[in-house]
Amino acid sequence: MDKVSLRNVWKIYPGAKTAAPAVRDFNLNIGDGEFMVFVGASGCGKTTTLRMIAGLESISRGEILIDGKVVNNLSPRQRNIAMVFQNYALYPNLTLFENMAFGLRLRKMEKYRISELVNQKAKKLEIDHLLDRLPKDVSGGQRQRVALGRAIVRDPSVFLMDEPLSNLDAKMRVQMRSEIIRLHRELGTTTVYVTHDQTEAMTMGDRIVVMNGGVMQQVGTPEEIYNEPANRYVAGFIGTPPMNFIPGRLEKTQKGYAFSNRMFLLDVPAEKITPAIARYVGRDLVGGIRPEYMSVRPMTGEGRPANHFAGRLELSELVGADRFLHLRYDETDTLVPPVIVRGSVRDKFDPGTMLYVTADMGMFLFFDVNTGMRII
Amino acid sequence: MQTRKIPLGRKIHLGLKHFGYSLRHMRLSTAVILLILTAVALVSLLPIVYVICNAFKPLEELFLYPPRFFVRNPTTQNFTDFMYATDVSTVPFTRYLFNSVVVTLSATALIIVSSLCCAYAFSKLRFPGQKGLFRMITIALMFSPEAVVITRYLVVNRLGLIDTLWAHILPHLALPMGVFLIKQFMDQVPNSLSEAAKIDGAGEMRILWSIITPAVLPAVGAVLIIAFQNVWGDMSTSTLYTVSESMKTLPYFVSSLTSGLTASSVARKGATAAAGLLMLLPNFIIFAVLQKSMIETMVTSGIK
Ligand SMILES: Nc1ncnc2c1ncn2[C@@H]1O[C@H](COP(=O)(O)OP(=O)(O)O)[C@@H](O)[C@H]1O
Ligand SMILES: [Mg+2]
Repeated sequence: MDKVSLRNVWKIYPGAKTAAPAVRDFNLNIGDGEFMVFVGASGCGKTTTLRMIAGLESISRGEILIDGKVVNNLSPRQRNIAMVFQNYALYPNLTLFENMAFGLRLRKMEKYRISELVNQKAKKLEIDHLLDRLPKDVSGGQRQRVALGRAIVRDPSVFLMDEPLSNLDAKMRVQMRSEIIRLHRELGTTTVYVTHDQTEAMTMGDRIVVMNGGVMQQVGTPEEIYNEPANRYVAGFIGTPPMNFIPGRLEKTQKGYAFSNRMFLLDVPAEKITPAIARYVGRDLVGGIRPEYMSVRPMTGEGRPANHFAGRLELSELVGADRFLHLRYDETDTLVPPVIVRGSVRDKFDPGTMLYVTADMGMFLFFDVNTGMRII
Repeated sequence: MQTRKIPLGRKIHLGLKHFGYSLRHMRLSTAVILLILTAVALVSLLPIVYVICNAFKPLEELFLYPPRFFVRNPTTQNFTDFMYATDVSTVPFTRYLFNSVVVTLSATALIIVSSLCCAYAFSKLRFPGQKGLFRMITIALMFSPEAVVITRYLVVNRLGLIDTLWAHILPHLALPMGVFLIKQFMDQVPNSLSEAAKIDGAGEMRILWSIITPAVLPAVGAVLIIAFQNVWGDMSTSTLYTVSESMKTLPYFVSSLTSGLTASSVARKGATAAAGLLMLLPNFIIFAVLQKSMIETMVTSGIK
């Protein structure tokens, strides 16, 4: 059975300045024990959706089920969930022990059980030596652990986390990321995790929901999201640097099919031509290719090789073992953005150099010009 | 303090290191402001010093013409007089004192509880008409109690509270300043704090008491000072809403010592001076204890 279900959920803030709903017709089933990540740019409705699951925000339309029960009209405490806030929201006047024990005390648990539980979970999070301190007397990372401890000590049926790592420095963030994953493996509690950071989403999620403008764009495993993005938004949002989008058209040639525009013609392998894409022959579409499926070679005397096009190197960024090469292939139109190729450290050229660029056409994706949906 | 010719805008040396704030590297503008503030502070201190001096002046100094500010030959005679004066009134002095203590304590406590609850509702809850209601409270800030004295009397009368201790307490409970100050403070407390408590399973009263109130204690302290001073020093409730002596409070009694109702009022000039000081004493104590939170609140809320 699904742990959490959202059915046609809408959120329209009463006092909102824009008429657009904050969340629009959201449908999702989250399995028991799943680690579900909501990712999207700021303001896309992730927090709103999470807060509706938590019961901190009313549901304008649709229904939310937890453990098969409609919870629309249940208060947060009746939903048996725990939430970790971005700013940790530790009670400043209570010691770390009391912070973790607060929910248990309200449940009238016996004193010895409380102290046993809190100490046990604190040990797991390596904060057991800090329990009599106040939140202001511990570091950001330790506060984060207390916030997690306060959530797990109650053994809730769902964890909700709203950008829990965004207030930490980069190093701490990576460490806490793996810690949260470890904790999830250990406890197996269903988790909904909100982040705007795609790396976090890709590394942590069993499945990922990509949102934009209050609308769910796609839900799937990290692999599905990365390799089979539903539309241009998802394709462009996930991946650093983002996928290259190249306008062109699909044409039938003597050899088969090709993707072409004013500057080049790239053969498309026959096995890529499905009935879905066949309908687009002779029509404009947008090609998509990730930087790692492209490569460059220096220009030599003997003319342009097949399935290559020329590009002028505009910018070359060395990032660790990779070098990102920004190449402008259409110099007559400045509105056409350069393509980014993920090369190796050895692809070292001076800016302004003309290079031959090619793409692994087996990995090429095609998007509808108007709807932005992926065709194949 | 050594003074020098001070070049405009230059750093100056005042030789006052023990001020806790090094004055050596102070700009002239800062120095001027400091001097003005000191002067203002001294001037506002004058009435208090005068009350203290008066309380210890012997009778002949009290009637001296022209009056002298400082006391020459301090004496505690006035306090003795005060004790005797209380003997001859119809109700024992302790009755007024008892009334005042009961009224002040309960009204202050109730003001704080009701201000906290109101502020919480305005700051952390959402309900229809919220904005309009809060606007009414801000508008009420501008009215002095004197402006609504007749309507207040009508309300107290209709409620059948005339000549009871409730007449001293209830009119004070509506303290817009209390709601306003505490709400301003609560607005600074992140909503996620009360939401975390809600998810932990706490009800609204528990959230208010265990989580929010500890975070707004400075504002509570400030409201406590204001509330205490309002109630403790209020004579009008005694004159307006009570008839029997046994329902009146200390300020009324103190003023009646010299109110000219009795022929001996002249002789009680000393007793009154002593009473004046005694009335002021609790204010001193409360302010000394709570001044830090008072100042913090005023600074944060942008009032005064
Ligand atoms: N309390 C609110 N009242 C009105 N509009 C809101 C409120 N909270 C959020 N919004 C709006 O709803 C949209 C989604 O916000 P949010 O869920 O916080 O986005 P995210 O968490 O993805 O950054 C935004 O456009 C935001 O301005
Ligand atoms: Mg958010």
